[in-house]
Amino acid sequence: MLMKIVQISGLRKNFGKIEAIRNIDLDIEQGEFFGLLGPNGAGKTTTINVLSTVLKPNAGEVKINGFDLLKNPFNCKQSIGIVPQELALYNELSAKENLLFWGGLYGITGIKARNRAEELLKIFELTDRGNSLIKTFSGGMKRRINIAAAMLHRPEILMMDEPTVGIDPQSRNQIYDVLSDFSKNGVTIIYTTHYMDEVEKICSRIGIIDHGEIIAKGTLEELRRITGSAETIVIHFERKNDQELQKMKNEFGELITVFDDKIIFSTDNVSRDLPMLIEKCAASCISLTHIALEQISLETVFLSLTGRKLRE
Amino acid sequence: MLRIAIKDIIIFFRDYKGMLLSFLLPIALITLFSLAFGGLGKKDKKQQAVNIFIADLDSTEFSENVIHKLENLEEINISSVNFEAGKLEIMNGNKLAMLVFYKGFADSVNEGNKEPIELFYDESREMEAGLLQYALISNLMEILGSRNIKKKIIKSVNTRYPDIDPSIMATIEEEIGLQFEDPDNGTSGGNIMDEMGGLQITSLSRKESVNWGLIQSFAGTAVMMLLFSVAAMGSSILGEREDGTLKRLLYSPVIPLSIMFGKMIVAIVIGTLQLMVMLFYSMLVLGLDLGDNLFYLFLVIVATSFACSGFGVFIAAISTTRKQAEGFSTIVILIMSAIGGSMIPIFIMPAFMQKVAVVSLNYWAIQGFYDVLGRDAQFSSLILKVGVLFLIGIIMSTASSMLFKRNILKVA
Repeated sequence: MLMKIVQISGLRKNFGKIEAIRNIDLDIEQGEFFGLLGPNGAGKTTTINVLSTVLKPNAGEVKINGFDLLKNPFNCKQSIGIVPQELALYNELSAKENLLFWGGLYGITGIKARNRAEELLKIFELTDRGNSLIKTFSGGMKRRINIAAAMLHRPEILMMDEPTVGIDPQSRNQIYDVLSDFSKNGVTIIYTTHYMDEVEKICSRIGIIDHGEIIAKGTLEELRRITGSAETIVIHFERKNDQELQKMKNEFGELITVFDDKIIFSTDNVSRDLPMLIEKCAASCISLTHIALEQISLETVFLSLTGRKLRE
Repeated sequence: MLRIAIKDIIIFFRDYKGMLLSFLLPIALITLFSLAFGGLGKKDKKQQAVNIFIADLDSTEFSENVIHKLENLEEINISSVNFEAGKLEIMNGNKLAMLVFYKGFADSVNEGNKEPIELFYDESREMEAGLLQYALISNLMEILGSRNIKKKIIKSVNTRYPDIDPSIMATIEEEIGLQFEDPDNGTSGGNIMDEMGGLQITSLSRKESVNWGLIQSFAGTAVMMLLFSVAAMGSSILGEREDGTLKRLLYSPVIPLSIMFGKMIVAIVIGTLQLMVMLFYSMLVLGLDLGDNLFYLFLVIVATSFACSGFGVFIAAISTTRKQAEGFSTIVILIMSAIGGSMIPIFIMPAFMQKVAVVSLNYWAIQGFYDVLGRDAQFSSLILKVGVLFLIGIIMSTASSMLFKRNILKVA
């Protein structure tokens, strides 16, 4: 059985009267790639700040790599590498100098640090830019160094707070590949984001956080089962009839989501529901252009759990 | 802490423009102030002559004689002018002053009456006029004084004793003549004048020749510019918070206060370096004498850097954003520099302001530099200034460390 490297029970954090975290219970196993998904203000960053010992919780118990967060904050910090949301790098230092500086704060110095810095530059495909100042880097390159800076001391746990914000798809995919390799090598990754496609693509387990609470957790499949549906029918249309669409919405409730150019219908039985929907559309004078079958998305899961879309 | 400090020092030297500005701007200001205070490399203390008009409405041989004597003075350059034209020139700000000898001037002196002389000056240059007045009065007293006094005494004796025997009066006049120089016949023999002689003024300093203008220019400017530099370094903590690097520093296993003290170390090191560069520039280019005790000088430099760095982190600790810190520090530094003697030498200020000056960091630093560069003071005298500077640094950094925890370490 794998070791529970992060154990959280009854965690609470208030800022005055605002409850940023309400009673979080969560265990994460070693080597797990755990995605913490939630809208802005859900409590993702506060959770990271508490786990990194920067914020003291109001209640609850947290153990990181076997160390109690309040009793052994230094050991907890040594076990963690944190990739903040901001590009927390010094623009006037080179990529290598940044890595050596941040590694040095964790006691990694000398030849060991230099070798590790070279290794990370190679992993992130930035060897040839190691001596360039950060201010000359593109956004994607800075993001990669931002991650590398958290890895120099070889932490057991890597906490990443929305680390791919504002970068191009190519850099993002490269980061996913590197993170997957880290995960395969036993590094536990806690990854917060509000990009659902990221979580679906790279995380082995997902926690959905909203209003400071983890409202669901499990693998993607386990979460899909929460909705009671297995697939979605996506019907695109050219001409619509608002009245009829409203009628359908009233009839099917949470199973159906209506957009301007399509409807998405969650189902556990496509062969039963697809003909029924086509018939209804025809009867309602809705001109169909395209029909697709898709697996239940996290968006649908989030919608069914909270009654609203992730970005609302 | 050292790692953080070294990182900041590297960043400081990487910013070439900022670094050059930190060193060149104070140097330029020191040079300008040195020129303004007239102390640039001069050791003979000669003053520049003041240009004034003279309107001789008396036009007698005696008044011309007095004017001729005034012309020989080094501190005054004289040019004759028509009375009305001279007044107009002064009112237009083209000339500082005009000395007028009214009609009857020679007669008044001969009769021992009050001399009809008047000095007109440009009201906007009252301070210069005051200095001129002092120079004129002392020189006119010297030129007119003995003759005037002799005449006044004889007139007084004649008035009080109208029936005095003429032979006794002649003896009195002879005795008075022996005691006072007579500009008419050139006799000197003035025993009483020699005894009265005026106030002998001797400046006291352990050094033979001190260029106080240059010391003031260096010390005043250096301390003010150092305050600006360290305030910027201190507020870089707030810059780190805005950039997100402070948060990352707090995630790492460092003691939070070591971040602040790391910044202070940088401010002390860079501040010391800045002061030394300014000092060597002043020595090599402007001719500042560093004195004999370089250890005392180094002590004042370190104490000043320490106090200033304490001020820098304090400003950062009481501010919430970098912009706020920059604005706030500019106001406080300008006020401290104004009252502490960086902009205007303390001795020019009124007595009340001289007392207020002690609340300023600038005052103690400048006085420390005065002690080692000018007065060549003993350690017992220097220790008070150095002690106060260290105390300022300790108080500021202690207060900052408390405020730092409360204000800056809020990451959420």
